[in-house]
Amino acid sequence: MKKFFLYVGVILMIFFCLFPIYFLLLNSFEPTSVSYSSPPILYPVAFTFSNYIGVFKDISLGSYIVNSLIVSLSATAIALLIGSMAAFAIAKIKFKGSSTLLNLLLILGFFPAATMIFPLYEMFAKFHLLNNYLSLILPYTTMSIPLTVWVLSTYFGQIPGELYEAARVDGMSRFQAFYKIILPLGIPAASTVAILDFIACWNEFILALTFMTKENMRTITVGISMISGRFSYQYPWGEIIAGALIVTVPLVVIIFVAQEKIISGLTAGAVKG
Amino acid sequence: MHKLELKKVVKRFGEKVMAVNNANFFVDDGEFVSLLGPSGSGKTTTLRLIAGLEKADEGEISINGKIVNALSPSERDIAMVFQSYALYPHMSVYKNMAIPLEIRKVSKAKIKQRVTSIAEMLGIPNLLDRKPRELSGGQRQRVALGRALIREPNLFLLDEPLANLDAILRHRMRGELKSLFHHVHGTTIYVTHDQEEAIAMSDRVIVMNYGLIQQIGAPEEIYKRPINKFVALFVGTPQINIFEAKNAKSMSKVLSSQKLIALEKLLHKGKVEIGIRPENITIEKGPISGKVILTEPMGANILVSVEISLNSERIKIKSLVPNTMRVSEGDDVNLSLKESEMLFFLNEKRVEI
Amino acid sequence: MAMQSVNPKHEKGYLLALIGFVSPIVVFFTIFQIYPLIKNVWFSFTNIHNNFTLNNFYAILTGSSFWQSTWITVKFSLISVSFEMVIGFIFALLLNQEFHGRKAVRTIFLIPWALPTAIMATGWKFMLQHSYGPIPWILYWLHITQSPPYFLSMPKMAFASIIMADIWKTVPFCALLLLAGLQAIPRDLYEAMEVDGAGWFFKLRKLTFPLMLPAITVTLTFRFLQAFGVFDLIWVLTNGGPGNATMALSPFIYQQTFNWLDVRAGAATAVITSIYIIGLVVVIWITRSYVGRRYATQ
Ligand SMILES: Nc1ncnc2c1ncn2[C@@H]1O[C@H](COP(=O)(O)OP(=O)(O)O)[C@@H](O)[C@H]1O
Ligand SMILES: [Mg+2]
Repeated sequence: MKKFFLYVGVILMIFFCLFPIYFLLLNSFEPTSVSYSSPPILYPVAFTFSNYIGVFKDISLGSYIVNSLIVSLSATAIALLIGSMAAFAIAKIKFKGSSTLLNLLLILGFFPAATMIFPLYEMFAKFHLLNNYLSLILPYTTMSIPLTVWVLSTYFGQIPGELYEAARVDGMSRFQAFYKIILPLGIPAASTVAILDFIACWNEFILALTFMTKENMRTITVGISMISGRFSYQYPWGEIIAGALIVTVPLVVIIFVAQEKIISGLTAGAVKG
Repeated sequence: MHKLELKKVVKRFGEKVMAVNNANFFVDDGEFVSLLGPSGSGKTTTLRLIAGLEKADEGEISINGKIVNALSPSERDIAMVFQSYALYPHMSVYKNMAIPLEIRKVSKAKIKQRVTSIAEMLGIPNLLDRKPRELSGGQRQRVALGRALIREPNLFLLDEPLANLDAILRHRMRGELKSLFHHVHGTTIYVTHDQEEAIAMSDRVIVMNYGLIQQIGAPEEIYKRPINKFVALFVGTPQINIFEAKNAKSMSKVLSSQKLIALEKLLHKGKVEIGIRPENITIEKGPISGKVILTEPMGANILVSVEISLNSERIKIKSLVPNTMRVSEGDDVNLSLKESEMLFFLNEKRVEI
Repeated sequence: MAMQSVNPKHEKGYLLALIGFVSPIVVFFTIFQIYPLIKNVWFSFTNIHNNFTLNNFYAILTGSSFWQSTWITVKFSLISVSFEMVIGFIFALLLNQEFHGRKAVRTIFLIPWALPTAIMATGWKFMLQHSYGPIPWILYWLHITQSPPYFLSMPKMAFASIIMADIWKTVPFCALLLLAGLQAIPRDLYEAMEVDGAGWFFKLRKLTFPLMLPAITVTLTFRFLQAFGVFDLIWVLTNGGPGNATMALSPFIYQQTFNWLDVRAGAATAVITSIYIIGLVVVIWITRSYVGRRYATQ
């Protein structure tokens, strides 16, 4: 009896998560005539690749993907590099105000991008950085830092202090101790953070919408959502959905490969309080 | 009718692990019974089967003559002290102890009265407002006991309640625990891996190894007449001496002629070993000469390790002697083994000869 | 609290090392986070001739749009986060049971979380279309409504749409966070309570819920602050409309700044939004230290 309700609940949960995905997937393989039928048809009737072919032909999906990859990967790499240094300082060098710094990072991270977007826009305009990858890489790096520093400093904090002290006693400088001892040990946590940072950058919208005004510089999120804006009377829904699903594929792959890491990273805070 | 009875109870974890293998035993009203065995021998699993926290794969468990296999833990009316104590971290000591009564919808006034009197009994009335994290190990243990003692269940199940305490406290609590549970006339099953504890506290001891019950008996029986080599080695400190009797000739200095004849017969059936506890060996005068290789003072006694040779084979034998005796390493001594206290094992099983 | 320092301060190179390790993030934060916030404050208190003025604030605070946006934001955050916490908690309790394919379900839960909001909003826009979207029709087929409702063209329904889409995206995330909290509760506490005779509701009330409070507050905090800044979802799904029915603060700032080109009005709105955020952080901080003291388990 208890089992019965459990499985009903589980099925409802799966339906909740997957129904929208199912419906979109279904329609991405249907010709426009089917997608536009009213009432909608919830099961497959026809099958076509035309939407997937169309989305590459009609919009520069390829360059959107490249743009997104460049900015997301760069920002993630920089955030990891400088974030791990700061996390090390907070966890192992321990200085006055280290916890204040950490809290400040976290709180600043909660300010909506909209509250600072214009000054950034003005700044990038002044330095001719609009429509330049840097205009996204730099703020994305900043946006990734709080999570990076937080997760890594917690992780470094759990590495026994003796390891670092032994390295110092053996004559290493602080920096040597950091990259020879602490950093290699931090690789599991760093890869977790890297995944979370990458997903956050890949998904970013408002800054990309504002700083990349040229069509060929758009990132994938803006690119897909702007398709709908172009054709104001007939939305090419099939193509939009196909594009959306193509963008989703890498994320789903990441999820399947690294789900344990993602969950541990996401939940690091919830458990500790 | 027994208070608790297990019949042919089996519990497996997966294909390979047989955590409890055909357990048969009973516990009578008011008894204090220990489940003794090394770590991993299935003691906790047995206790959890009784509590209903695990379901038996085979066999019957009955309480007061009623089969309880299908009952949930809450329906069995049992109190359990967990090895980790399992105190509710967000509740005060008072709340922790009151919970079992609260579940039974006992009135607030009654709860208060009961908690106060149990706290008095355990000597913790001043701790009632504290949270578990503000308590020492010994205090936590008392709270866990208090939570069990607060009601009058069919059975008390205690899973290594002293294991997390320091040595001095552990010793002191032994006596206290025993009298506590006698005082409330509770039927108690006490799990421990510490044989001294089991021997000191129990009415009866159940010795387990690899999920199998080895022996059930009163403490002195377990100690004096262990059923096999495992129990003999496991129970008693310092550990029993066991050496192999390869042939009758080599034992001529150790055994009387009567026993030698019996030994001769036994040797045809398999491997024979002789066990003798260190306190049954004297080193002042006797038929066997040897050399002292190590002395370990143990307070009132000294444990003396002596190397002897039995028919060209060198073996090490330990003897427990009073500390008044002067003995030091390198001394030549003459051992005598008390024959009446010797144990004989044929293929690891004890036999009378 | 006294800092236990691994390296005594007087040790050679301490300060230099510290600066070397920490300054990069400080530089990034100063330029790309703190400077913009301060610059906005400056914008909000000046006019185009760079003279001090309170007119920007006066105009906003006496108009109705700003207050409407505030109200919409608060309503959106409160409603969506409450739904998400309740449904998320139920999902977490289910996920904490043992059943076949539990790990697969956990993986599935990551999909809505990982989808870019802008893209999932695009998908929802399709699903909510009156004539060919499945959601209006399912509601109609289940006799919940008398005809397939118009979601995106009616103010109330548009608001419901953003809530619905937000719930879909975030419930799994909340459930995973809460699940981690659930799994951190030692099993033997449940067993102890079972042996003492407790039923499932008693355990939920006396054990699960109080011990989950820290995880709940963390999730709640995180979600509420996130919901308060909502932009992508609204911009793509409703564009703040119909009318201004879903114009939360972030899209409102964006509209003022980049559509109406009224930078100073946008800056003033941004400053007040920042004050809201600071206020929220303070409130949450106080609540959390209270909850922490009351229910700390360590
Ligand atoms: N939940 C479980 N799953 C798998 N194996 C278990 C589980 N609990 C106990 N075991 C195994 O069963 C055996 C007996 O364990 P246990 O009863 O805890 O021993 P003891 O309490 O005597 O140390 C051990 O080999 C242990 O690894
Ligand atoms: Mg055990």
